[in-house]
Amino acid sequence: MKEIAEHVLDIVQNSIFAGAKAIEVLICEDRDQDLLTVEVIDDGCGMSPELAASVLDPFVSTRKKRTGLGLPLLSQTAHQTGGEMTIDSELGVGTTVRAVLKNSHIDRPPLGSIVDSMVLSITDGADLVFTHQARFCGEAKTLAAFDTRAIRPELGDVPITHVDVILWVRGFLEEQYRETTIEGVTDHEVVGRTEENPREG
Amino acid sequence: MKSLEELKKIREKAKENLRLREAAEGTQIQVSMGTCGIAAGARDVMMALMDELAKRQRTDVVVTQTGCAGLCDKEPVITVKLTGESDVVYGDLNAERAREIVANHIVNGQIVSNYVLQVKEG
Repeated sequence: MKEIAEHVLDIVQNSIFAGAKAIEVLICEDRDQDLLTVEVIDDGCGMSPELAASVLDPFVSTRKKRTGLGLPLLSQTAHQTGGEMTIDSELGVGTTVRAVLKNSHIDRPPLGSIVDSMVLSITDGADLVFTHQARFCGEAKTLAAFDTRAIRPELGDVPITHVDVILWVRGFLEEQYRETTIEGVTDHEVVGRTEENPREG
Repeated sequence: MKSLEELKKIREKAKENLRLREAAEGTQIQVSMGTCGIAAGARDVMMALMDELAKRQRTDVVVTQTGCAGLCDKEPVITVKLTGESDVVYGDLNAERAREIVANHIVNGQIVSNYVLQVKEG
């Protein structure tokens, strides 16, 4: 993965596969301690302690046909910056995946297009309650925030997966992120990336 | 500033389009979004598809996400499903190629043979 945002999208797919009804993505920058924390919190089916202990094995997965590389890759990314990834999971309650990265480390990937990752996460599950917040640790003020519950009444019977709705959500989040000074967002032009930046090798 | 008012307009427009496009109902694009797909750039492909559909006023097309189909080395992979026609699986895509597929296949009905992995008969 070239971006932290891509990891987040991948972990959210796990949450959706786990049958989550509510998913929260938190991004928190701690400037005093030079840390960037990314959390994906869901109320999906959760994991047994045995499974939770073994998910970092790339060959452990609950899906047929698949290897389970998502969590090992995020763990690797966190570790290469001197940070770590932790998983809190309880059967029937949900799972929280938390990656802590050293912000200034040369191997920390850019946060990347967190907007696009959030947009696609929001629109994956039709009835999902999806919330997203970015903030500086210890400060109450959010830099960017989104909650699907706020827009549902406006949509009526138009599905949240409608292309026009998705692009509106994208614009809505981009406006907020344009104002933020979170590290890794500012060094990345979120807007219009798909056109100017064809896939690298 | 993006306002909720705009969402209401989207809602009105969507209702209108639904009536106009009933004949073409059922056009669907599935984007493979497993770990392999995401790592290869599926997210950018999906955003490009939606952007191009919006530009061409074809927001009746439904873009959905699926998991890994075992074609990890060909990612990003998408499947185009047009009513009454065989499903077409495209691979090795990027944002630019995704736009090409919207223009040629979805809008004009011409399969973009350069990127086809598989045509599923029936």
